[in-house]
Amino acid sequence: MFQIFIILFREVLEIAIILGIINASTVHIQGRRFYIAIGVFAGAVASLGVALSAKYIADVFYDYAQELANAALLIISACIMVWTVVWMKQHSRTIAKSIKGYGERSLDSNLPLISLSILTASLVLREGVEIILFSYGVFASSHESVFYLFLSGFAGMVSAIAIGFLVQLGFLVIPVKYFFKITSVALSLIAAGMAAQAANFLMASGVIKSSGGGPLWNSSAFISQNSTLGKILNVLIGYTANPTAVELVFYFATLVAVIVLLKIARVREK
Amino acid sequence: MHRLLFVFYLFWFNIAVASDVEMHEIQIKDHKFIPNVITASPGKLIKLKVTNLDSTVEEFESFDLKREKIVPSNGGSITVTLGPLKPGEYSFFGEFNMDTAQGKLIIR
Repeated sequence: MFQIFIILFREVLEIAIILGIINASTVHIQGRRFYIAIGVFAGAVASLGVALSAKYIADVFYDYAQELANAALLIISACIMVWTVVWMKQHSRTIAKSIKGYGERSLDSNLPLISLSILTASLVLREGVEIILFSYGVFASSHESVFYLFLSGFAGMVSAIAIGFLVQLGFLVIPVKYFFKITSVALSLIAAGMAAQAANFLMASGVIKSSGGGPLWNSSAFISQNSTLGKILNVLIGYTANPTAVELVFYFATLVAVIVLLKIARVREK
Repeated sequence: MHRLLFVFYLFWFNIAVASDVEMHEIQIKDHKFIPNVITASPGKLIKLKVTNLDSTVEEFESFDLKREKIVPSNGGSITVTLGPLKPGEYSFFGEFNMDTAQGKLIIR
C-alpha cells in the first residue's frame, strides 16, 4: 500500500513540477492555460490508448519501439522548451509591459500555442502509460482492500500535485526584473535534462553506440536517484547519479544551443 | 508485414549471435525474476530477454544499468541491451512489484 503511494507520487511529481514551471513561465502569454490543458487531456487519452494496447504494440513493433518513442518525445519536448525560451526573449518588451501591468497580455501568435499543447501532451504521455499500467497491475493482483489502495494512490498523486503548486507559487514571488532570467534558466535546465535522458534511450536502443566507457562517476552515495530529492533534481536540472559521457554531451550541447540562439535572436519588436 | 519483420529479426539475431554478444534470459513469474542473479562477462554487449508470465504488466528498471522498459503480460517479452560493462554488481527490479521483483547482474 505504501508502494502505490510512493510510485504514484514520483511519477506524478515529474509531471506536476514541469507543468508548474511551464505554466508559471508562460503566465504573460494570453490563452496559454487552455492549450496547456488540452495538452494534458490529449496526453491522458493517449496514455490510456497506449496502455490498453500495450501487448499488441509490443508484438507488432520494432523491439526498441519504447526507447525510440521515449527519445522522440523527450527530444521534441526539449526543442519546444528551448524555442519557448528564445521566443520569450524576442517578445521580451511586450511581456515586460504585461508584467508591469501596462500593456495587454502578449497576444503574439508567433508562438503557436499548440506547441505548449504538444509539450504538455508528450510530458503526460511519457509518465501516463506507466501510471496506468502500474495502477491496473496493483489493483488486479494485490490482496489489499481496493479502497485503501485507491486512497494511497490518490494521496500520492495529490501530494505531488501540491508540490507542483508550490513550485508555481515560488515563481509568482520572483522579483519582476529576474523573471525572464529565472524562467529561461529553469526551462533550459529542464530541456538539457530531457536531452540527456533522450541520449540514454538512444543508447539503450542501439542508435548511439556506447563505446564502452561506462558512467563517468557515481554519486549515488550523495544523492541517490531513488530518493525524492534525487527525483526532484532529476526533473529540475537533469541530475543523474551515474552519467555517461554521451549524456553529458547532450546536456551541455542543449545549454550551449540556448546561449547561442539567445545571442542570435534579436528582440522582434519596434 | 509480419513476415518481413520476422526476417529482419532473424537477420539481426544472427548477426548478434555471430559477434561479441552474450544472450541471457529471465522470466517473470509471480512477480519474481527467475533467475534473479545473472552472471556475465565484462566488456561484452549483453542482450537480456525478459519474458513476463504473469497476468499483469511489469516494468523492468535499473538505476545502475540505466534502463527502464515495460514488459507486456501473459508471455510478452522484451529485450534489453546492456554493456559493455565493467566488473561489478548491477541491480535491477520490477518497478511495479518492487518488494518481490529484485535481481542483480554480476559482471566478472
